[in-house]
Amino acid sequence: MSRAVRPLSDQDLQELLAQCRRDNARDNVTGILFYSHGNIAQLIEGEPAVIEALFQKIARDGRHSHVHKLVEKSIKQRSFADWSMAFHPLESEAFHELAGFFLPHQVPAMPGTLAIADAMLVDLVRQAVFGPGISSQDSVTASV
Amino acid sequence: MRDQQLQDILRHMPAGIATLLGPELRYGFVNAPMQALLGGETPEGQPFAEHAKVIPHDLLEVMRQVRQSGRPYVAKGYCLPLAGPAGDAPTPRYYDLALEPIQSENEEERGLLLFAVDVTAQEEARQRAHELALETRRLDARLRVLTETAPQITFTVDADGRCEYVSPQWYYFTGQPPTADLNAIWPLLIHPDDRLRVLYQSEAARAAGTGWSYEYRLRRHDGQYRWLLSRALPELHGTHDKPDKPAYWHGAMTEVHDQRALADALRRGEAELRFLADSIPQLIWTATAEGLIDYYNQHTAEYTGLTGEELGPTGWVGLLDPAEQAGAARRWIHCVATGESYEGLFRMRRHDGQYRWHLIRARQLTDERGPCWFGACTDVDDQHRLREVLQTQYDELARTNRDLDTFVYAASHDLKQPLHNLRGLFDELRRTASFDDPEQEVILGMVDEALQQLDTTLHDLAATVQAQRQLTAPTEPIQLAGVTEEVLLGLRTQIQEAQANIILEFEAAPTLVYGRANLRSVLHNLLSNALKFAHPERVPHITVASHLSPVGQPVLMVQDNGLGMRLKDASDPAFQLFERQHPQLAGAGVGLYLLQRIISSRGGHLEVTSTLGEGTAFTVYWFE
Ligand SMILES: Cc1cc2nc3c(=O)[nH]c(=O)nc-3n(C[C@H](O)[C@H](O)[C@H](O)COP(=O)(O)O)c2cc1C
Repeated sequence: MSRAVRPLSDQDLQELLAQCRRDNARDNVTGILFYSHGNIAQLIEGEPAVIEALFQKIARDGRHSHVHKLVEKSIKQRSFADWSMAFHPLESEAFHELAGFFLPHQVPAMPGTLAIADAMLVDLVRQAVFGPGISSQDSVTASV
Repeated sequence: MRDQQLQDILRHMPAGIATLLGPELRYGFVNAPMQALLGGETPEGQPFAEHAKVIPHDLLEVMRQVRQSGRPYVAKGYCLPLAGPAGDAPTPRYYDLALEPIQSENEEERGLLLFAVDVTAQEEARQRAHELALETRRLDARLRVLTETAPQITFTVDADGRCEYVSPQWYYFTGQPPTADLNAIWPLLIHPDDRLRVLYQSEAARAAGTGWSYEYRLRRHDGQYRWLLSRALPELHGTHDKPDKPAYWHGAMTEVHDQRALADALRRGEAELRFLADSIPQLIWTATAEGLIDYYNQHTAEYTGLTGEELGPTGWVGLLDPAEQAGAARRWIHCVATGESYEGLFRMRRHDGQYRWHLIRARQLTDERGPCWFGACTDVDDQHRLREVLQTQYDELARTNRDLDTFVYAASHDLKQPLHNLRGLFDELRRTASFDDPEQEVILGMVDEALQQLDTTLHDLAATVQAQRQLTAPTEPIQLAGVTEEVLLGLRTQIQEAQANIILEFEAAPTLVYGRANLRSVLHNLLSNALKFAHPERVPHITVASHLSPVGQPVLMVQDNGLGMRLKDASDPAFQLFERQHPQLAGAGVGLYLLQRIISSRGGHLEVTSTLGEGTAFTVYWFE
């Protein structure tokens, strides 16, 4: 989780989405990023070496601060097919068609491969970013 | 040199030149700069005083005296208001004026040479310097007042760490005399435990050309060591990216003793709480406002066999029985969103794989630092097991009880046939055999009575078990009058024999919601009792009445004028099974016991009042 140094505009977010989609696809990194009102949370999956280096790079990124890692663990299989982002753009029209973009309540269900503890972590973190009341199609129920 | 040539040179000098001749100081030669100075036209022969209005009076007087005395005079930085172009306000300009007498026998040719050099620029610079000096002195004074009144010690040290200046507060604080050798004394006043560190840190900062900020204890005038925060910055000259090596450091020291004491207390408080939490044989944890666990106590590690690191911010849910994890997680997310307290009974895995029942509780605490969560998991496995054991035993007892009932019922039922046979045989015997002894008749009567009594007992035992079974039967609204009539019909032989007078009064509460069979049993027992214990010397009067109690609950009363009985306690008749009030009369005593069982099982109680030889009144409070 982290805090944006200043609010990210639609354009900032779109650029971040494009760059991360490109680089993460290249590096075989998957996961999801939540953004709202300066609150940021991200989950990334990939080769340990790749993830370690990426985390170092992201932590040093000047666009945000107060970066802290919640958990780091080795997994047997991935839970995300690609890398995506969920946030509330001011002009949602422009984003509908973009690959890898979701409105917060459209985030797809967490797959059953995710342990309940981890699914709950994603839910708590999403709740912390978007505030209570954004129940997406997943939530822990779906992963049972 | 030709006169004309000389005049040309003079005319172009960058200084004003003029000759003023005769007692009236008439214009002689006037070059262009002087003309400009005097404000334009300077017609030769005109008296200087009349024409040049700009010339102040004192200057004119000095000119006259120079001419008279023949002694030259020089005035430096003399101010002349020069008329501005087109009648603007005159601006003051400054000149160095040289007045040189021109000697001559001829009165008219005696005069003076006026030489004026414009020094306005220099003069202005001088004045500015003066003003700056004044301002500097003012700022200096202000700085001194500030540094000496601020509640801080201010100081300046040089690159070698020698103290150049220290504000008077240092002397107040330390109580040292103004003559004290600062550089020798200061280090000695630092707390011995801090001294080496402070000296090293300050030297390192000076060597690196950077500032410093550290805390240390300095001895106050009363001998107490107080914590101070010392901060200093180097005085930097040169350009931003190529600064000179600093020569001085300026800084201030602030007393932070109380803050430190407070911070120490807080730290100690937290350490104590942590110690407490670690000592409790329960799983204790805290979580952030987002619901992520940030502390597990020592016991958690011991119970789970996992470190806080391994458990992570949500790992606890993975310790629960897999079937309960999703529900527990959903509940926790909901509580974090709403701030509601969390509570649940879960089976939680121990390090050895055994699941034990735990009561998990968490509450949100909100203070000025925002919300956070405190949670505890209490091992209630032993209680849980105990309850399970008790439940099993209870079930067993209930079953045994049922078996016993069944046995009693079966036995009484099975005994009926042999009894029946016995009576048949006995009747047959009486009919066919003849007895000579008159005593035999009495014995026959006793056998008859014993058989009768055995029959009643068997009947009552069966009825008791029957009623027991019917206690769980559904209830329905029942007309008291109708059921009572039915019961009386069953008792008609006894009523006729006794010639009893029975009065029914159900108008006040005609219906009752009850189990039908139970109600019938109650009425049957009460009425047959009243008939059985009738007084042999008078006609039995029995009243059956219903009414509502003051709180609106139905009540039934059965009153007789029979034998009456001896009571231990009216409100707790404590009828014991087979307790016989009147041993000379037939009856098993099972009846009253049965009554009480029925009434109390359905939530009511039975009261009785009685006077020996006068009569008895039973009151049934159907419900409390
Ligand atoms: C919140 C946040 C999340 C980011 N996530 C990723 C990511 O998942 N993958 C990635 O390549 N860059 C991510 N970035 C961007 C990187 O910090 C960095 O700017 C980017 O990789 C370009 O680095 P480069 O110029 O060294 O290639 C993220 C930046 C921020 C602020």
